[in-house]
Amino acid sequence: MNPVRFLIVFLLIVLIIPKEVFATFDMSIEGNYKTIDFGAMELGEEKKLVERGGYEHQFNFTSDNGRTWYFKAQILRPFTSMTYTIPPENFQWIVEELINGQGILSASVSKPAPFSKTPVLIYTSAGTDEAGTEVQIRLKYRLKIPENQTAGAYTAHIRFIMVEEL
Amino acid sequence: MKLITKMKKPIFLIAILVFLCLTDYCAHAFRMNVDPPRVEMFVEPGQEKSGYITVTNYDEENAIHVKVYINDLVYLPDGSNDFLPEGTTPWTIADWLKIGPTEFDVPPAEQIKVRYVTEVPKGVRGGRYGVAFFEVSPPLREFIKGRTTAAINVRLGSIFLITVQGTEEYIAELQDIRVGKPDKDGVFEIYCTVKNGGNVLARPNGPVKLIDSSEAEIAELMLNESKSGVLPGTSRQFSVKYDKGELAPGEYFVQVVLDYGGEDFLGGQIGFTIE
Repeated sequence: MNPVRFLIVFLLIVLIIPKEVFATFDMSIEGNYKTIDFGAMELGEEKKLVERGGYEHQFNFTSDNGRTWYFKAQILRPFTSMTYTIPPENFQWIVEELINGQGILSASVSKPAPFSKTPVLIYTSAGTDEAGTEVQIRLKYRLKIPENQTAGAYTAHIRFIMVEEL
Repeated sequence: MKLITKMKKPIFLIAILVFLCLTDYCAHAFRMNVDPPRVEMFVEPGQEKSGYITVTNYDEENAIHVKVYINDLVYLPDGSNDFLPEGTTPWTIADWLKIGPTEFDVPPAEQIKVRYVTEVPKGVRGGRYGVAFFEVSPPLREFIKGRTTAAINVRLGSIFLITVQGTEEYIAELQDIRVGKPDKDGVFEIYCTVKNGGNVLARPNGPVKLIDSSEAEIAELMLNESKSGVLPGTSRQFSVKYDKGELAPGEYFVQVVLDYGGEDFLGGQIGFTIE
């Protein structure tokens, strides 16, 4: 076969066939997707993480299932060191930017909202969000250490959720 | 090399562009797909049905560790669902659904098929609802000593709706219609509360008409256009907003007709005053 024809056929197979086979319901994270690292902090210090130029993580969502989906966040364990805990409301997420989304943000852009033990709604999809358009949400994070907090190595555990509505 | 030198320039450029698109497709640090995100099935009593959910790891370099588990779910006032431990609601799928494997690694750029089997016992009726979560968590070594760090878990859900074929009962009641006071921008909300007395999920939706005292229709709004549900044995309030704009002070009516999936419609009307 002519090499050019071979290349075109190969590319058609690679590009078209997988897209026809799989339904899309995916979430990706750009940035450090394993941890949110505030580094070393002082008592009474407040720190905002914006490592990627104004935001810390970019979450990308794609769904072509034609159904409402939502993005939620939850704190599984607040910042804890031995038996000492930083109040969960001192750890906050902030939407820096919504790109391509036709849905609704539960908190206004730049308005801090605390993590909570029950999943907190960040975004509800609408329109083209459910027809394959990639929605991008940029988040930054803020943590305030209380003045009277006992010193220690504090770690927390959070969860991000993408799921369709029942 | 011979292949490239023989290629015409535009085709070579197209090939490079396509390559760049493909690499961008895979460039995210973490990317997981769950397919399908919704499993809706009708099963005869005493029968079983099975299928697969495919979990794909798009990361070209790192494997992901996935745990699979079932949760019950309920509706929250904001219309989204909250998730409860399996077996805690009357409509739980936990005793009908088996899923496995429940813990596995997905190698880079690979996918794993998770099998589910639904067994519906004899003598049961109605619908069951829940979610299978696919959760990825980082290894604990990601915590760095002396630093204030939060580990991140990510989970994607696949919703399950299981109906015992031929046993569906659609019974619903429009419990309340209420009109709220206009806010400072002149927008008011019309609230409707629907109780689902049946044994399957109901999705009441339909027109809400605003009518003036001369019985002229002023506006028609759609309540619950996204067809959100009401779980069996529960009530849920839906609302729709209207900007009163130039609406003159006086007496008006709200007329509601809702299709909930049953043989008839739910209807109701109330009067209200604009001052």
